[in-house]
Amino acid sequence: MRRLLDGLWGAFGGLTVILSVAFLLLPIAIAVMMSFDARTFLGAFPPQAFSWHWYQRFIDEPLYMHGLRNSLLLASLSTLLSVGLGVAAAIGLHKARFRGRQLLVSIFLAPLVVPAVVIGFGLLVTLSALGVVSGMGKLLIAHGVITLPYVIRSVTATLAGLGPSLEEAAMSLGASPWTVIRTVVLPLCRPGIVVGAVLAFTVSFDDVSVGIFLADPESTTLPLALVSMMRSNFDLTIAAASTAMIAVSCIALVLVEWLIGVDRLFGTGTTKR
Amino acid sequence: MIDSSIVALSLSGISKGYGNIGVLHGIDMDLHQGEIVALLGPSGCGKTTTLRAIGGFVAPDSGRIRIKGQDVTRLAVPERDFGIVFQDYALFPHLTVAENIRYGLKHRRYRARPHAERVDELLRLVRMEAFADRYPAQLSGGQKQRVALARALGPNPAVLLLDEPLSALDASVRGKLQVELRQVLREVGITTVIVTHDHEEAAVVADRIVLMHEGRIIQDGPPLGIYDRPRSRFCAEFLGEVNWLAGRVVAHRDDGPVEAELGNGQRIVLAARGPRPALGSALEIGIRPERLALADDAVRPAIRNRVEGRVDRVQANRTNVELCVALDGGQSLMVTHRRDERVPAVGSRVVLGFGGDDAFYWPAEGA
Ligand SMILES: Nc1ncnc2c1ncn2[C@@H]1O[C@H](COP(=O)(O)OP(=O)(O)OP(=O)(O)O)[C@@H](O)[C@H]1O
Ligand SMILES: [Mg+2]
Repeated sequence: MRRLLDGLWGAFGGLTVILSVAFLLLPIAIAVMMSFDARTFLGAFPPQAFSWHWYQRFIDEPLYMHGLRNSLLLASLSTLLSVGLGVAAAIGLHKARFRGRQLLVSIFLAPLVVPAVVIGFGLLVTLSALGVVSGMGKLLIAHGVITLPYVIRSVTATLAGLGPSLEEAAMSLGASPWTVIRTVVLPLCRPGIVVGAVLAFTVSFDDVSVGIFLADPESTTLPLALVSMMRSNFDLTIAAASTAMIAVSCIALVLVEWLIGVDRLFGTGTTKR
Repeated sequence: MIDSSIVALSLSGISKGYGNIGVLHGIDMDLHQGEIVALLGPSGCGKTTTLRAIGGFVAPDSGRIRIKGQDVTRLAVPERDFGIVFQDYALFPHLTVAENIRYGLKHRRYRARPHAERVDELLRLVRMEAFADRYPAQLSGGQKQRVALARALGPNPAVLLLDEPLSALDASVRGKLQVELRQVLREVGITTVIVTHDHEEAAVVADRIVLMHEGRIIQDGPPLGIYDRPRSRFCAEFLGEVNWLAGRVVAHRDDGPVEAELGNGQRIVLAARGPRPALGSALEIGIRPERLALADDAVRPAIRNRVEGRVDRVQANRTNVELCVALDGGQSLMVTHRRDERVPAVGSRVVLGFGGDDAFYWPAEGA
């Protein structure tokens, strides 16, 4: 009886996993497949023949190419910005032992729960009041704001697993507080920094709801271009563009992993034993 | 090895509280050059806090700490000349064994020898030469412990602090590592404070035991000395099993010994120790189970005592036999002796013998 129940649970568990994966991947798979459809109009699924022609149209469309360039630039810069600030903030919070620390943590993480539209509108008003005119400038600041919490969160989580004795051991071996951060804390945060950077890059690269308030024609990003095209001219170029976006996100992930070397860190056991 | 003309570490009047809860109440302790001292005591008595105060991780509310004569009470951690091994070893997981050891040489600006040579020497000292390029995650607990020790010894500090360095290990490994630890510390000749709550471990590793209780030092002395001559009920019971007897002083002998009468009217003679208790005063008398001999002729000293009773219970383990003997008059005594001796049957009458020196005593409280 017991074994039967276990078996049923196992089957149920397996089924749930399969369904969730299908639910997550199916729309993506369909979009990717449709982007290779040889038909010149928006036909029914599945595609009948293979062709690159939607990609040709994607590349020929200056709006998309301009957006892609802007998006890549913006995602890279805002990732740099939020990793720099986020790592510093997370280490600061980790060291800090004052009252109100928890409040500060909540403030840093607020953009995760505040609707992006609210942030977009808030920034629109604030940045105009501050006299920031460049569309790219506004977007960079805004994307810094929305990506920062991801970095802080992932780095904080890594730090929480470290325990105080590593830092104390370093001090006992003659390391000054700054040296402790440089030689122990930062290297051990690397997995958190990598995860944070990948998240920051994708969040910035995907953003529509904040950008829509702040971008001007000159600084339009790829997702914003997709949205405007969808309204004016709905065809499968959008599927091609989406597939390109997925490719960029994947490349970003692989690149960052290769640059910072996550596998080495997972292999050497960075968390508390 | 121990140079008693030099005080390498000195604590005077160290007190510490958290909020209004006192944790340390005036700790005084001097360690001579090369001496290994065990801080022993039950959980929560303030051993770790004392150790952390020496290292500078905890600021005492009052008192002075001196390392090699220099007052370090106000110095930051990296400026104090010590090494420490934590309970979880705290090896840097992103550095190899050799890099872990080199870390201290570099940041303490060790200049006596080239660093590569010094690393090799330390690896040999703890017999870890073959593991220089491993990462900590690839080591066993005992190996990590040895690397942590080598790393702490690296810059040749004046004082070494060990916080329960072996407690995370299996009992079987621990016994071996205790002996090894003692050898390494002796070879290096470093002044050491080791925190432990295991008396056996303290006895193997240390020259002297400092026993703590509720933030105070209640007794210190050589490991066997404080086991044989505890000065309080807490100390006696913390270090091992004790039989307690109640008695009353009935006579003083000329040469010092004290004669006492037990509850059942039987008289025993106790060797003189400390100030003489007054005639007629009540005594609390303690005897360790292994100090009671089954055959009274086995007791050598000049003063011999015998008590009689009936065997109530017999329990044997690998090496020892434990008897519970009910004395005439109600009280029971635990007796431990080696298993190869003849074992009396339950219910048989036995005579227990002990020397006047085998017991310890003090005036009974509230009498
Ligand atoms: N940071 C702290 N804040 C408040 N109380 C503390 C703090 N650190 C220690 N204490 C208290 O001080 C007392 C002594 O602690 P300590 O760690 O020195 O004990 P210990 O002798 O090392 O015990 P154990 O054998 O369990 O390690 C304990 O009652 C503990 O609760
Ligand atoms: Mg402790």
